[in-house]
Amino acid sequence: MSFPALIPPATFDLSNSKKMSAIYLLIGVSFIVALAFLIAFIWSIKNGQYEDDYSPGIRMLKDSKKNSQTNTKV
Amino acid sequence: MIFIIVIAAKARNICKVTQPEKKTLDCSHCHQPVSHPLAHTKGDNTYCCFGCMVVDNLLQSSSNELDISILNTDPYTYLDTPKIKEQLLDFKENDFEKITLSLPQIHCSSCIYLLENLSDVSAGILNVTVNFGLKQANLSYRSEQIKLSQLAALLTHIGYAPEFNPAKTQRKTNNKLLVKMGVAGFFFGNTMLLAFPEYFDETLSHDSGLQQFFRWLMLAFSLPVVLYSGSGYFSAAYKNLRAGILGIDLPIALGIATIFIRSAYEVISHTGAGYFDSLTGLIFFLLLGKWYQQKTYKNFSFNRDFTSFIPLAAQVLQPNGNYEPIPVADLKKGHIIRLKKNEVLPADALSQNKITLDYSYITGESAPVSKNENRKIFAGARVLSEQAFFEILDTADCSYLAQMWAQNKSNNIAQAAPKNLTDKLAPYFTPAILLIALFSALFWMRVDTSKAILVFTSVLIVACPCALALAEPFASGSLMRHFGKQGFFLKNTQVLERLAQIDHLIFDKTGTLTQLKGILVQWHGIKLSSSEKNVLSQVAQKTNHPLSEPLQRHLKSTANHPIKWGAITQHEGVGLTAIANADTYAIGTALFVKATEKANTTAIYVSKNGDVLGYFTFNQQTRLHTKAVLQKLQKKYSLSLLSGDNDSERSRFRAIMGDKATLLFNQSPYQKLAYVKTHKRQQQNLLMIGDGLNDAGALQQSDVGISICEKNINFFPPSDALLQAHQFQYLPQFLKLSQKNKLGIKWAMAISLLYNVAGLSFAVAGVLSPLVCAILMPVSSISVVLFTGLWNQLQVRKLIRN
Repeated sequence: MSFPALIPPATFDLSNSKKMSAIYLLIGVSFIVALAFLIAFIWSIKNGQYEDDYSPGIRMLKDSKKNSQTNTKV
Repeated sequence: MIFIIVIAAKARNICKVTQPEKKTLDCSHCHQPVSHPLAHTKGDNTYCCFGCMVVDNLLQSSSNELDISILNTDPYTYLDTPKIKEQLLDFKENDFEKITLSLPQIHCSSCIYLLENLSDVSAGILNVTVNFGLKQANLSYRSEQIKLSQLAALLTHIGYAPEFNPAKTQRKTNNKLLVKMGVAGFFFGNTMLLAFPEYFDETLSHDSGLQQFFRWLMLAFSLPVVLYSGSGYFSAAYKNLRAGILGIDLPIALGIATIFIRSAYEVISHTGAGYFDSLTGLIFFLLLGKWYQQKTYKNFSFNRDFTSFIPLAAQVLQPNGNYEPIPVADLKKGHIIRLKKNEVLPADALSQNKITLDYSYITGESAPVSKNENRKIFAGARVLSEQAFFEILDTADCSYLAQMWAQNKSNNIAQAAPKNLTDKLAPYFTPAILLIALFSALFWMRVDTSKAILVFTSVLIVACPCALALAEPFASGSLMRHFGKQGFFLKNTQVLERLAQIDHLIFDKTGTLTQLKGILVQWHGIKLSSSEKNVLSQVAQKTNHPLSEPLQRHLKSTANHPIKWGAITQHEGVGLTAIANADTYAIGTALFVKATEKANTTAIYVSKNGDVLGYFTFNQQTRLHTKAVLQKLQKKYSLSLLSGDNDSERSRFRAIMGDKATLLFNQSPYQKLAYVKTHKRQQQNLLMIGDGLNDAGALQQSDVGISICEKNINFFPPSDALLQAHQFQYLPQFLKLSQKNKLGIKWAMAISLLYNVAGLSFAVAGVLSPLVCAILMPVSSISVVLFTGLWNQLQVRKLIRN
């Protein structure tokens, strides 16, 4: 017994490599994007963002009107 | 991957030093539970710290400028001397200065808020950045507006007394490992994505161009992982081999190299997809284990130098008659220095006036000591008199204290790193794997020559002891975190290993088994009338005997009626007689008072008009549960007590510690050190628990040195672990848990070996596909990690939570 109607016919022929060529581009692009994140991660380590994981969260909550002036001075 | 997130989340929670939750009272400002030592109250509000109180008050009031000129800068004037300041500053240009200060009192979010808003309170301060983990603050300020001494005084005023240390104590976390982990994790994820189509999608094989592209990409992705992230394993294996050790790094390096070479060969020869996902995953998991094990309590400095116990500068007499601060390193023989109350003598010196000293840093003896002129005083003595003058005998780095430290250092080098279970198993592992690989290859040579190389490499690949290498780091790492939650902080996971092997416990007395504060004074004899109490209290006020202060506190409640005094005669060393309200009182030793009944501990006897009234006993209070703890411990371990104090309490501690315990009194730091050394020579595994600088030598020399800390957890002698005093009662449980941990590791290793055997059977049969490898590797690692985590959780719950 078979249900031919339930199985949709293959929409594109996979043996034709031209139709898959987009994947080369996509992989290339996505790899570059992902690499940017890796570099960002390494930068964040070197920048010392993992040295203290508590105070930045608190710092965010305080008013910054006066502090922003002093920051620019420094 | 979920478990990584869970671990990361857990690690975050543990990073914060959990404050003991004894009371259910919450801080009115930050709503954290209020712990005793820092608590402040104002009106109806209770605050967990001074910082919260100040912030809360600032929020309620409108004016918040603080007048810095009224602050008492006296203790910090030396900071304005250019030479000293130079050592401390991070950066200076004109009057713009930057400094990093250690502020041990930082403990809550309000602390950060208050400190970072200091620029609102004082005009000269430009910017403050707090590092909560390290309990440090970076401050930049204009020295024309606020001097460093004023800054220090301001910080002290608001409750954050800074700690100064010329040696930069900033400890950096191991960034390189994090970068390696990041790189490995990144390429692991991407390789996995590229490897999946090979496993599940038949269609990929229809497009050989795409297949080849994927394979080459995986090869490219694995290169940085092997060459950069995994480089540590190759160098470690090489080093071990040269030293003739078969460590666990060798089979790992062998595995990594084999997987990479075989996979690269498969790709180049178009014969397969290789095991790149397993390879990158393996290295990533291994690094993860390393990282998990490397947990450190950044805010505690376990390796202190003696310089952090002595001041930075001393007030030296100048030719013009003034005293000016000079750095301690510049002190020379013949300098006359002036110290105030509570300051610490930086170098060995001769006393110039009659003074009272606290020698507890050096001797451990808690009672104050009186010294006459021209006596040799050792560095580290704390002055209790209002003012003291000294003539320096030698430079600071030649002092008794410095010498003791130098001696320790040279001795410690000989101490070999302990072998852990993994190291013990490793020497058998590598030869076994190589033999299995060789024999199965030989077998296949006869059956099917083409498969021999394949089987040989398969065995090396699947036997790569990833899960085995993870068992120890994860088990010890998780137990160390559990200990941290219970107020027991270890320097590193190697301490756990040694802790499990302890068979002899050595205790210091004062401050370790007994509490620092709180001498228990008891009266034995005829009930004293209030007028008699009054007389005794006022006599105690008039003398400066070490015991007069606790006695006075004991008698405090009685009213201070005026007394008609007659002659008061002091008899050096034995006591005094005083005539008050026409009665003659004799106060002093039993012999002096002619008492017949004698106390078995430190006591002061009292007689009135020749009739003995009785005596006061003075006992240091032992810590809560000390008796129960020691009675539990003496069943399993040999116990020793090394005390710097006199032996007046021998019988009391004999009763607590049992008949077999060794009790030694009047021990100098050198004697304590010698005691540890002799017992170490007898192959005993020693645990030393102490609190003072006088224990420092013994703490460093014993297998595990634990400092016990009552309140200031940032000031303790160098040691392997730090135990908060209120958790002392759990000491037997901690020891037991470290032993249980070892059992847990053994089980975890058995599990990982089981996976290895399963994998090997595939490999030997010649049917190890990349898919089997890709499943087996992470599953074995994860089950080992889960097992150790659950094991420790269970043990901790069983022993401590109940």
